[in-house]
Order: sequence, then C-alpha cells, then structure tokens
Amino acid sequence: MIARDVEIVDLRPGIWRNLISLMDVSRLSDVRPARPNILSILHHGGKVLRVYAPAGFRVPTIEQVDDPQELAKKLYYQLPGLESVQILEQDSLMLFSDQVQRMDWMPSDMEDFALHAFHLAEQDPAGLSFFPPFSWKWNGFLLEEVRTWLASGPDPCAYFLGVVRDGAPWLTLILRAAEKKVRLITTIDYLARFNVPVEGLPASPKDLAAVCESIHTHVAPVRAALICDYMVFAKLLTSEEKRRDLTLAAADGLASSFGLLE
Amino acid sequence: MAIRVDSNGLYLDGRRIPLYSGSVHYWRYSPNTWPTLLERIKELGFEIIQSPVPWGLHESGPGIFDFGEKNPQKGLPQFLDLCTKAGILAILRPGPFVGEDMPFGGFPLRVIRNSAVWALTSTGAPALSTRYATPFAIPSYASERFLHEVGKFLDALAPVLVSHQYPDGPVILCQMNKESAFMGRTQAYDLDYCPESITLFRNFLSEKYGAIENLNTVYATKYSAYSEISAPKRCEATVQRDLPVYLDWVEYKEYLIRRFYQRLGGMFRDRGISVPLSIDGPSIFSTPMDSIGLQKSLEITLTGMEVDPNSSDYPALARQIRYLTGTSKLPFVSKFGSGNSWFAPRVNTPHEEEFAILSAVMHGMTAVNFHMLAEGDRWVGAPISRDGAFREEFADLFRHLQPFFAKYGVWESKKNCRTLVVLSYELERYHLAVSTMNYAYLGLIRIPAIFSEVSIPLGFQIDPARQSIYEEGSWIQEACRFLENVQVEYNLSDSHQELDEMAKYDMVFLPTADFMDLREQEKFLEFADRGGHLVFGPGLPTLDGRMNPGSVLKNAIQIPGTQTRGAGKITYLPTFDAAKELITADMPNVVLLDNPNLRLTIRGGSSNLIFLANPTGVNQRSMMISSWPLRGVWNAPEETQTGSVTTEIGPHTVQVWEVLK
Repeated sequence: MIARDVEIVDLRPGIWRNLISLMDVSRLSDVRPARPNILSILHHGGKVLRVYAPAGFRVPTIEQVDDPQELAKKLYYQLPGLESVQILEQDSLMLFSDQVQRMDWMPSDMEDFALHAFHLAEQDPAGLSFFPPFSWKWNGFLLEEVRTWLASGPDPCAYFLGVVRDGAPWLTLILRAAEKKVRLITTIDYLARFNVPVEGLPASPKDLAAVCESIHTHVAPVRAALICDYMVFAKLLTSEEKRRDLTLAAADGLASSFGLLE
Repeated sequence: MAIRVDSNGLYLDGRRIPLYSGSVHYWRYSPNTWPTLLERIKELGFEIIQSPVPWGLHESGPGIFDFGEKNPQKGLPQFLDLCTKAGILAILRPGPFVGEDMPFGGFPLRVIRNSAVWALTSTGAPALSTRYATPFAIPSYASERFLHEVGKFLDALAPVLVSHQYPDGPVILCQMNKESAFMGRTQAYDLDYCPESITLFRNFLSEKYGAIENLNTVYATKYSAYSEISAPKRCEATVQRDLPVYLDWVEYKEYLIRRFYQRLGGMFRDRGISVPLSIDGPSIFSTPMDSIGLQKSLEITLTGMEVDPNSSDYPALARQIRYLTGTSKLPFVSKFGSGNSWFAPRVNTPHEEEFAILSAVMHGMTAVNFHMLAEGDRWVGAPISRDGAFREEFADLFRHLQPFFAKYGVWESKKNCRTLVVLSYELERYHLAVSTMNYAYLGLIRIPAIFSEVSIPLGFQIDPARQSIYEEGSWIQEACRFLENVQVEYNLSDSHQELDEMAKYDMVFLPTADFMDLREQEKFLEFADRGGHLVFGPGLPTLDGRMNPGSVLKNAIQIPGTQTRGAGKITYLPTFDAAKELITADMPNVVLLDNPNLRLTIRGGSSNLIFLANPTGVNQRSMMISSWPLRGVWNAPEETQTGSVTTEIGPHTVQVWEVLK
C-alpha cells in the first residue's frame, strides 16, 4: 500500500498530530499490544493460566477450558460490548510466534510482513480460538481491501483528504500513487511550491473542485477526494455504514466527495 | 591521547569542549548540499555533527566498498574534509547496526541472509526484528561468522577513519552499534539459542562456577561436564533452589553483550582507530545492558542513552536521565529525538521539544546529540529541511538554546544531588527470569504482554517479581516518589555501581527481597561504614544469590528502624510510612516550593541555576522559598527578586532562574 521509500514532504508536525489523533497510523508496524477491548484467556492443556479482562467487564471464574471455540462464543454473547474473545493455548502461541518468524522476510517490507502474519492468524491456527473469527482491521477498514483498492487505481493517480473544523483546515493530506503503491505523502502546502494560493484551504466542502483541479495539475489525476467536517470524519472512521453516513453528510452540506460514492 | 572523556566532559588537547552535537546523514543528500547543511548546523550553534556510516550502503558488492569512488553521495572522506574546512568536529557511528530507516537496519543483505549469523529463538526460528524499515534476522552477538564479516567492513573503513581522526581530521568519537540489547528483544527466553551462543553459555557457567561439582551443588544436578547443560526455554521453577539456572541464563545475556562489545572495541583498536569509543545504548534500565560493567571495560569510554522525548510523560524522561546521570561517566544522550519518524505516533511541537530538552538538562544531561537535526527521509519536525532551509519554528528554538547554554556554562555545570536510588541487579534479573514464553509477534494478534509472566508461589516473604523498577508499587518506585514529594533530588543507578562512586552520595536507597548476593550486601554496608546512610527495604535478605541461607544485612540490623554503622547509618525501611524522619534539614533543595505539582533542581558551576518544571497540562503557581536573590534567565521575569518569589509557570514549561549569591 505504501512504498517503503515513500517520499514525505511538507508535512508539518501539527498536521501530522491531527492525523494521528484520529487514525491509528502507528499500529501498522507497532507489534506491542495495546489495551484493546478484548477478553483473553491463556490455558495449557485446558488448565487456565491467566485471564485478561478489559476494565468494566465482570468475567465469571474459569478454571478449565474444554471447548475453546464454544467458550469464546458463549463469553462474547454473555459480556456485551467486547470487541472479541480469544482463548489461547500456551504452546500454540509459541508455535504461532515460531511460524511468523519463519516467514520469508528477505523480499518483504513491514506492511507485507504484518499482513502475512495476520493471514496466519486468520487461518484458524490450532489452539488459538477467536470469536468473532480473527480479522484485522486498520481504522475500521480491512487492510487487504484498502490495499486492493489502492492498487486498482490509474497509474499514476492522487487522493485528497481535507478535514475542516470551525471553518478552518484541520487536516489535509495528498497521496500520490504509482505502480500500485503510495509514493508521495504530503499536504496542501505542497501546492504552494507551484504558486497555488493554499492559505486557509479548504475552508468548507465547497472547496473540493478547486482543490482537486490544482492537485490534478501539479500532482496527478485525482481518483478520489473528500472534504468533510471533523465530526463527520471521526464518525466515518469507525462506522460500519460508511457509504450511508457519507451520503447523509453530503446531503447536509457537511461533506463533499469525489470518486468515493460512485 | 589528544582526546579524553571524563565526568567533566570532552577534552581536546586538554581543552574542554561541550559534547553538543546534531546528526546530519551525509549519504542522504547530494554532495552539493553538504556545505549548506554544515553551514546551517553551525548557524544553530553546533560545532560537532554526528553521522552513521551504514555498512550496507557502502558495501556495493561482496567485499567491494564504495566510499565515494563511484557514487559521490557515499563520499565519507570528502564529507569529513568539508567538516574540517568548516571547523566542525565529527562523531561517527560505523555500526555494524545503524537502523536509521535503512533496509535491513543497514546490514548488507549478503551478510544477514546467512543463517550462520542468526540469533535463534527458543524454538529454533530466526529472531526477526520488525522495529525497523524492513524485517530482518537479528545477528547473534555470539556469531564468529558475523564478527568476521564486521572485520572486513572495518578493514575497508579504517583507512578513511584513521586518516580523519583528530587532530589530523575532525573525528573525535566513534559510537559502536545502536540499541545494544538484542534490538529490544530482551525477554529472557526469546533468544539467543543459536549453537555458538549455547557454547558461550556453557563457557560462562564454567567461568562462574569452576569445577562442574560446584555447579551441581547449586543446581542440585548431576552433570559430569558443562557440555551436558541446556539453556532454559521457560521458567519452570517450583522451589527456590530451582532458580539459579534461570537467573544464570539472564546474567549470561549481560555477559554476551559485554563480550561482544569488548570484541568489537578490540577490532576498532586493532585497525588503528584510536579515538574514544562509545555505545549508543538503549533506553532501558539494567539487565541485559550492563552499563556500568561496559564502562569498566578498557575499550569503552562512554555509554549513552537514547531518548525519544515525550513532553506528556515527564516522569519517564526524568527517570531515564536520572539513571543516565547515575551510571554514565558523562551523562550523554546519544540520540535525543529532534522530530520523529513519520510513522511515530507523536511529533513534538517546538514548545514541547524545548520542555523535553530543558527537563533532560535539569535532571543531569550534560552532553547530547540531537538526532536528525538535518531532516532524514520520512522524518517530521527537524529544524533543517532536506534542501538545507530552516524550518523556522524549530530552528529558532536551537538558535536560542545554544547561547543560553554557553552564557550560563550549563554543560560545565553539574546537578546538585546527594541522594542515590539503586536498582538491584538481582531483582531485575529475577523479574526477567520469571517468565514463561517468548511473546514476540503475539502483539500482532493483540495478546496481552502479561501472558508471558508467571506467578510462581516460591515461598518468598517478599515477592521479588513485584520489586522491579518496572512494577507499579514496588519499593524502588515508592522510594523515588517519596524523594520527589519531599523535594530531594536523586540519581538512579544500579547495584553494579562501585563503592567509590556511591561514596559521592550521602544517602543510598536499595530495594531488597529475600535473597541477595553476600558480597553485594557487604559493599552496601561498607558504604555506611564510610559515612553514608544506607536505606533498604522492603525485605531483609536471608538467602544469598544462589538461594542458600546466609545474610550480611540481617546480621547488621534485625528490626525496622535506623542504627549507627561505622561512620554512617543504616535504615531498614519495609514501608515509607515513617520515612519522613530520614530527611535531615540539609537534604531538600535549598530552594523550596509550595506547589507539589512542580519539580525543581539546581545545577552548579560558573552559574548556579534553578530549573523549575511544570510537567502538568495547566498553568501552575508556586512560591519559591529562597534565601538568595533570584533572577529569571529563561521563561521567567528578568528582574532580580529577593526573599520568597511567587512565580507562575505555563503548562509543560521549564523556567530557569539564576541564583545571585
């Protein structure tokens, strides 16, 4: 999705901070566990060793695991609000870690490597039970879908995201993709190199056409673009009904998009 | 030697110069840009630059090296000549590991694709690093093949480096490697199980125990030779006497690192590289990175520390710097983030960067290299952009800082500190040893890290696993909190600290549990004998380091409280309930605050400076109670004030006041 030697220019720290305050950018490469809303049970041959429950969930005492898949499902429905339940056999975890490290690392970049590891987990490895089934998402999107979509675009092409807050640009992001990968990450400041007046842009979803025209001229033909209100974008990231929510926001004048709803 | 490093700083021909540098990676830029970049660096007040020399970049084919002969961008000699011309000194980091967003961490793929150099996990898989730009197999510290390859690189590099060493050239220091602790994979049973490492483990045991019978006595085993011993792959102790093998495995990792750096240092020396050597150490405390042990080595002058400043986590920054100050000959932050990688979850604003830098200074940082002063690839927030232009909001900070540091002699000053908190190596080793499995990569599927820990009821009065500095509520954390609350500044060190160094402090706090090496106990008692005040707790050791009955401390004091010992005192302090009685009138800072949310330290030198930090996110107000006149010199009112001074200080801000004696 993102080329390893991606060029990053005109990315001010403030803009970057705004972006990462919304999007879980770092998790793509960071393997350290966060504190997700996941109930985890570790056992060895059925005997429970450790239980990790997120705050606020009262988990019944469990000492023995006989049917991990069934137990995971039961707990998931018994404790509404959990993202998932995972029941893990200790030796199987070691085996999973071993398999990940035996993957062919030489031709991989970090993104490929992480995806291969996720695929291993999705293949229902023996001794590791997940309910719902393991499926790795990145900011609410299936990473594989995003990669496929990006790879299917014209070569080259550009993408634009503008988030507006209180009538001022809060976040802008321009991506240039070529040969199926993102090769340039920048912001609207980049257009100033070509004497495009960018101060205060975008101020509202109505600026979409003008911004897209400049990007088309100086970066690449625009494949998709979105300018929306901050609250709309925050909601879109986690929404299960992104298309519907975006349509509604557009109808309310809170979003304007190109190439996303067609 | 023309160059010398000691606790007072860096000396060139007897002249002290501040070790204050910024990174510029020559190979990232066109040679046409080099003069501009060096000029910009100087304009920001720097006279020293630092650059990695990536092995994989310069090795253009098997055994074929390019230092600018073919590709001018790799022209290290030309770059160093330009430094000389510009009057700039240089620190080089020839690796072998450099990181820096380089493919395979800067190693040539040719070298690390060879399974003979790999560190192996307990299941025999290559230990892969995924912390850097591309995944790669971590080389083993034990691999002779790897060292042989490193030697070939150093053979090629040495002529360039030797001819550019001070005083003939600008190179004044060589930093070896980066992140010197298994590339962050420090879990006890994660790696290194490669055959050469297992052989070294057996050698280590043989050196430690001598005759195999001695080991059998400690392990309760019946080995006839060291070659029969296997490395433990998880902690399966069920009684206290089972522990030594696991603790030995953790201690062996320290030995492995130390041995590697001694070998590496020797390789530099053998090739005529005579400038001081340093280690760009990781941001971890104690085992497996034996900072003090490494500095005792003849070849290694300095161990630095990496700091990624996060203004919202002031306690972590302060703790790192206190440890650096308490353990390093010269408190040198070898990599102080100036901006951050684009993939990092946080990039500081200039205000936050200022807060982090001054917070580090106030707790003892005395030498520093700002990482990516000139912007690297995929980097955000550096003061100098890739084309050599200033990023003004960040450049301004450095333009103001350097004259301030120079005017008040900050780098020549030292933090006033008479109290030391010591990490117990044995407790930290135990914390690592009591672990069941390697959890590398389990984070990908979001497995809680606690799943690698075990809670074994081994019958200790005090659970040693809960006494690590990493454990919330541990005695050592309580000691730190207590000292901060009573406004006593302290340094952190570890139990490998030598007695003569400890004797520079009035009071030492030491965490203890049921077991402790008897010689270590004697060393701490001698500190009291010499006139110091030893405070220890929460346990009273009754076992030695091999879990045999025996105690030195218990023979000296049996019940909680304080008693005279030689020229000093010892206090057995199970809890901090009555700890306030330990604080004598001369201990707290000579300037006191009435706002517990603020922190204050004093650095003394040609000027006496008070550093006052507000680590909170809101404005704070405090009275500074001082018997001396004070004048603000940074973020504080400039008029001289006497008596008690009331000051307001903004969120995440450091004020500096000069004491006018």
